[in-house]
Amino acid sequence: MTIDEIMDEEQQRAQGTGEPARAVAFPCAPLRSPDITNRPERLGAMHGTRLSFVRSLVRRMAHDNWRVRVTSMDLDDNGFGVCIYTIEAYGERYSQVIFSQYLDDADRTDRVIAQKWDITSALICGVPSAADIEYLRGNVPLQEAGRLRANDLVLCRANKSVRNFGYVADCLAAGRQPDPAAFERVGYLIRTTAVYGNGKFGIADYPRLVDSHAFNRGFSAQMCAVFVLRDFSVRLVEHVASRRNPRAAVKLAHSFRRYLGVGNATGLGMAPFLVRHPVQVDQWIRARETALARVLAVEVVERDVFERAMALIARAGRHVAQVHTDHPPEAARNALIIGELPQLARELETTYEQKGMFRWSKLLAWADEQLSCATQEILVTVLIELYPGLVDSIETATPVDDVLTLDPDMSVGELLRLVERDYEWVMNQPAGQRDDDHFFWYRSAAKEEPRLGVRAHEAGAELEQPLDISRQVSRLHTKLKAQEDNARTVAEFVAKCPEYRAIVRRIQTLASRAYGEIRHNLLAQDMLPIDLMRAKLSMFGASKFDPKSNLWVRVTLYQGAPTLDDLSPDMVDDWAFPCVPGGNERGGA
Amino acid sequence: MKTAINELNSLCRSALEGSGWAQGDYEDAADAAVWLHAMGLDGMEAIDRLLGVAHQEEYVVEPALSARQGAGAEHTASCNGLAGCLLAFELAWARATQAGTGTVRISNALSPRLALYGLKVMCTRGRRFDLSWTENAGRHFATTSGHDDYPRYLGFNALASKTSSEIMVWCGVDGATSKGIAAAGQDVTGAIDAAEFDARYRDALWRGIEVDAAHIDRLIAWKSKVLVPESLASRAHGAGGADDGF
Repeated sequence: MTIDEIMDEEQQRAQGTGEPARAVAFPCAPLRSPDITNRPERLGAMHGTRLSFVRSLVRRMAHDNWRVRVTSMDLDDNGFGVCIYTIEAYGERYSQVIFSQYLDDADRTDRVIAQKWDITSALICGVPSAADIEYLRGNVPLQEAGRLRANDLVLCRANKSVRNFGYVADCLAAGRQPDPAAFERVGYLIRTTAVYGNGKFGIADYPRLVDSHAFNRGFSAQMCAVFVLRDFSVRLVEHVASRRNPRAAVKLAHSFRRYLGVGNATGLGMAPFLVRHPVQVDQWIRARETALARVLAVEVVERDVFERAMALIARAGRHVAQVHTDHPPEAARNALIIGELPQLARELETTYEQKGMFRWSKLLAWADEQLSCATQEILVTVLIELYPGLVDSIETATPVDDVLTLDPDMSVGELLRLVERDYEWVMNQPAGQRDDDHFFWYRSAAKEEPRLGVRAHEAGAELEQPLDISRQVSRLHTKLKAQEDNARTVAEFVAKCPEYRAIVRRIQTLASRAYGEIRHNLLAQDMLPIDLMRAKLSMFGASKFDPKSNLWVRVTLYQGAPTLDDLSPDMVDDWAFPCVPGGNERGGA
Repeated sequence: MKTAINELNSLCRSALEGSGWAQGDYEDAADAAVWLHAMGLDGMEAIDRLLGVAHQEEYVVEPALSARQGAGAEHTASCNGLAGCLLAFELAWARATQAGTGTVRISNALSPRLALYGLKVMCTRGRRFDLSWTENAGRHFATTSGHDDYPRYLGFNALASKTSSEIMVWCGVDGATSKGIAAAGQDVTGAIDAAEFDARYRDALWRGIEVDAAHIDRLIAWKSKVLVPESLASRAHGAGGADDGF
């Protein structure tokens, strides 16, 4: 497509699925209920799909001829120094400035409370001047303690995987490729510990990016910055190897370059985001469910599609088998998936051969009955993967107005009925679950790190963050039922009871956004923050979920993704469930 | 110092929360103050008036509803929350739906200019609103047709009443017109039209907002009241935990 054609299509994107206005209306089965999709056990079992942000971004990069290249690389023998990438797309130009520095092992931590990092970086508008680079050099390595400017879009940092980075550098310097087994355990050379956008520390607000064609989708600038860091991680390790042994060092094999992603350590901060941005959550889950519904409406499944489904299920099995985790529940879940996937394959094969009878909806219904939630979600990813022509036009993260708005005209009686319709999941909780306020969410004075406390044992509950949607709804319901005048307007009600203002407008705004609410009491003792993190990380497109506790998780982004060299308009977008390659081809010297 | 809009908004929300405002109110007030500041209307001074003060605004909604049992003149009501921002417009809207027009008068307004943000929020909702408020500089006037991106700030009359902090909001449906709030006939100066508001917003978006360091320090001090002090237990068990060196 030419730039003009791309621009036209961008401008004509429709609301809702964000598809071009001229897109064909696809047949669609009923969407799954939020009572299924928005329960923590389901959110905590999600996998990335081809609609995930990283998949969507890489498709656009390839199909729309983005040009991403290194324009300056000034690193010493140890790999410390500065590297600058330039990103050109749609007539726009951006740069990513990366600083690599020495980090003592004693200072290396993935937590928000860290003060130093191996690698720090900023994605900025335009091409930096010498003065810009000096400014960034004085601020980017400081991260939260520095100040960025309105022309800077993303601030991020990463630490080396100590084990992998050193090992790979040694191998390449010795003229040989690493053992693939090393990448099965840890599929990256560096991992990000924070990727900031949207106004943090002085950087550009997201609304500024709405006019950007490259980065107007939610989180696309952040995802691009991580994609560039992935390329840099390989260049960095090759640079170190080459300086160590210039005559014999080799480049990393292409299959490894492609397999390696960027690690990410995610803590509690993602959970509050999901509660505070319910309109975005609705948009993300609705897009995914719409894609699934289109696939379930397919009436005739061609043999080549069936065969691809079988291949993807097999690939998913290999992928899950290569996930190493010390978290017992996650390991047990993976073992369950590995045991169930052959059953799924057998059922697919058997029912497909019953000619004229097969529908994906029947297979999913069978899976609902016979398989675990975790394996069902693998099937969902597989199904969406099968039909790019049906689903790739759905945009998961087009700009959305996520302001919560009060409807002042609604009567108290109408509000009560709305609460009872949309929050039945709150009313139907057993009393013990409904009243369970075991946890409280708070921000620590230490760099404002989001944390979770046990109410009975820890101080600070009086400063808890308002993530208690279930409790707020329950209290509102009680209050509404006690009102004598049901004809009174909501405006009058919140004037008298301002403590309900936030929850009332949330409920009203979400009346047409059924996927916006996580359907669980987030204070309850059985709540697992990693379930919420996984939901958001899956939307991003993360894989290899490795919980380190119930409070934080390691994942990999862009594992199996095309490399910068692979980006071209005819690129095949097929990197769901990445598996460790052999790396048998030789890397160039 | 220069800040981003979202950055300043987060700081303001936390500061207001630290000052004891409820969630809905601190969200509204922060949005309002930051928008005003981006528009060059000293939103930081506006937010200062909400920090550490008693919630004492009073309001009355007119006209009284004859259909309501025991209706007579509407009584002035106290508001535990923040009436003089969005709530005044919501009350006027709801009364206009019932009676054709709705007028809300707020006395003892804590930070009257926040109401201009309330008017901005109503700009796209299809109903006419007129607004006036009094502050030290005099009486200010603004309006929207309900089909605008920004309100029209009509200016202020330095000679008008300066004795109290008052807000008057009028909403009308079906072509109704306000009485007593309009700027017509007043000697007003300093008008700002929609194009100028839009230019100021874009400038803030592209260059950031300049905020006095003393204001930032004051906001941070209030914000600190919502942060839980660090402890060994909190550090060890509240979030990440130990790293494994991978």
